[in-house]
Amino acid sequence: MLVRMALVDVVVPRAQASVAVRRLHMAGAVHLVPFHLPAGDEAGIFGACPSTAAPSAEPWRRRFDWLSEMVASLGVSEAPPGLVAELWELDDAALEARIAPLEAVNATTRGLANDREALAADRARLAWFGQLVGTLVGTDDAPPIPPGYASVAIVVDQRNGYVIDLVEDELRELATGRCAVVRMPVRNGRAAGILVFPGRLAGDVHAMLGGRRLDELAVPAELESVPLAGAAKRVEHALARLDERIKQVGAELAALRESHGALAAAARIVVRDRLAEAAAFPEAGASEHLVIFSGWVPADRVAGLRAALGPVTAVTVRRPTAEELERAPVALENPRPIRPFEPLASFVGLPRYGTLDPTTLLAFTFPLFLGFMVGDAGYGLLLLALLFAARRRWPASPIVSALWPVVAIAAASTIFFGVLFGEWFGDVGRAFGAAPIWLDRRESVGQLLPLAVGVGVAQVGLGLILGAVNGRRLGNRREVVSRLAELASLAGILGVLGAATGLLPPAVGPLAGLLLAVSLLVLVAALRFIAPIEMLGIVGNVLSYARLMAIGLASATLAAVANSFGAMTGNLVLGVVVASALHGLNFTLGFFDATVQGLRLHYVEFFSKFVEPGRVRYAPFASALSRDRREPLAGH
Amino acid sequence: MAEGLRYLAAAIAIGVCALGTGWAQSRIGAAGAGTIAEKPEATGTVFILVAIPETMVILGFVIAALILQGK
Repeated sequence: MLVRMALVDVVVPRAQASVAVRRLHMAGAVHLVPFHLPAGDEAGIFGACPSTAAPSAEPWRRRFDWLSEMVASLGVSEAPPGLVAELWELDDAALEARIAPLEAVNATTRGLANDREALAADRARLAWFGQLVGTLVGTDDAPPIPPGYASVAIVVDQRNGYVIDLVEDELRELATGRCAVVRMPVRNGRAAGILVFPGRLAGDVHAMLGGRRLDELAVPAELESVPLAGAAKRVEHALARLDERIKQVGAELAALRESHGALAAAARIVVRDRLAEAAAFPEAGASEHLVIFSGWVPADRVAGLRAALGPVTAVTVRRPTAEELERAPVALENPRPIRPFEPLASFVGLPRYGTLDPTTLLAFTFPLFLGFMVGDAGYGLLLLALLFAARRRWPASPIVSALWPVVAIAAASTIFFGVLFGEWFGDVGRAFGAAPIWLDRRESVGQLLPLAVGVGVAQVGLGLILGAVNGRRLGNRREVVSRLAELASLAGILGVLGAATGLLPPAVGPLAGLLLAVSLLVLVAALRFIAPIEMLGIVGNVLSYARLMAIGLASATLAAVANSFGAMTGNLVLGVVVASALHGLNFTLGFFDATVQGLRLHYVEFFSKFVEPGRVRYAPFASALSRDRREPLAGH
Repeated sequence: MAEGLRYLAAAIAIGVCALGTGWAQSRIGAAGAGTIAEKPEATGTVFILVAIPETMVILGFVIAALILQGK
């Protein structure tokens, strides 16, 4: 269900505004919205600038920037909650005094981080050069680099090796033949060419290479006049020196992280909160004596908010205008078993405030659809086993924690339908006496198709009823009329078809025809020229549920094919391997496709009848402290 | 002969619909991938848009099933 919200105005004396905002932030309950004067009221005394009641955001922004830089340089991932709470309670001056010494530390940290980056780049360049030198020394045509000559390496993909030939031609022309080019393959399918040329031409050579977007590797300055045979050793020494220096810088940074990391991370969080508090003012209303913050609060938290803000702050609940109501934030709050389905239900968008929450319906029908489509008890058990293995392997993973209830219910549904269809890894179960309790899917297309379409009639019909309910809740009479007319048209079509095929008594035919004609007229009156398109769309939506049968039939057939292929090998071990591989493919495809198709039936066919998506999620103005202790409110 | 034509009709019914669905999804999918790259919050909408043409092949399947069931 959607949480009932109240629109409140928090009125505070201007002199107390900063304190009140801090309490509001700590309460963590109000989703702030811009203050608007009630319709009909004159701006009057509400002409004062609310920002002047707030501390300037700029110093906090500057502190936040350098603290962020420091935390990133030190590689601190978490701030101790106790320290955050301690800093949070400080007033601005005390907090500033606590943070100020860190700025000097940041200068050191920045220098060390830059050094570490530069050293790592040098190391990578040198290692790369060392590899080239190692390759060169191992060849017979290693060029000697005489004094006064310079060299540069270019690296290209091996398939573009002709580029080195082109470069060689141009270099020979430039150096009038006084040059050498040696090619060699290097790692990752790339080729290198070492160009040796008179040092005075270095600028011209770089200009020549510059326009070609080639990877150039200049010889490190310290190795320029070193013969290649000796270069390898020098590179080795230089790398060792760099490693030592990198280790030293790392140790210095680790010492700074140990001494200042926790304070920097905690201060960054608190400063971010001060910044958010300063940013709350520009959207508030203000007079010379008062500041008013508007926002949405869960209705059952209004009393708690009043108590948290204290006696000098007034919290008044007011009736929202139609425009405000349309933009109201949405929070979902469902019973624990339903909650895991909320992300699926709101994937396309949150429903409009004041309408029905589709989560419960999705939580009920989505696993049923998925189980019906896959419908194999063996696959269901395998999914359950994989789920338990994933929980054991990644016990703290938020993705596994969020998904496991949905997957467990889907697996249970798959096992249930698998038993009804008598399918255990296709027809393997039949060999052990597991006959279908309900029906054999591969032999029952004639029964499954009407059943699937019948499910479509029920769900689309329910969607139309809920659409009318939502229309009534929002006071949209046209929506109510059009949804009911669509429902009546659908009933009329079914009645006519039922009478024509003999499923219903012939007397129903004319009555259903009359109902269809009248409801279509009403629909045209309500929706004008799009009425026929809407009606065709609804018929298409109903028939679309045939995929419940189609996907299931494909899955059952593929499972049978897997077993047939296994049996065809004539060898038990090979047969099991072949069948397992095909069952693995079918298992993956089956669950993936059934998930996508099951969700699609909900989003496109069902939700489109009553859910108005694209609404704002409830995001309360909450400090780091209130975020930690806030009672769980589903949907955020 | 009539039996063969029936199977051919069923194959055409689902085959042509599948080609149509594939073509439509290729166009929508390409545009959708570009949309998501620039606006990740549109993922849900793109999901729906890509899924819409699938109805065509399902309808083709229904027609094919009806053709094969009819004696």
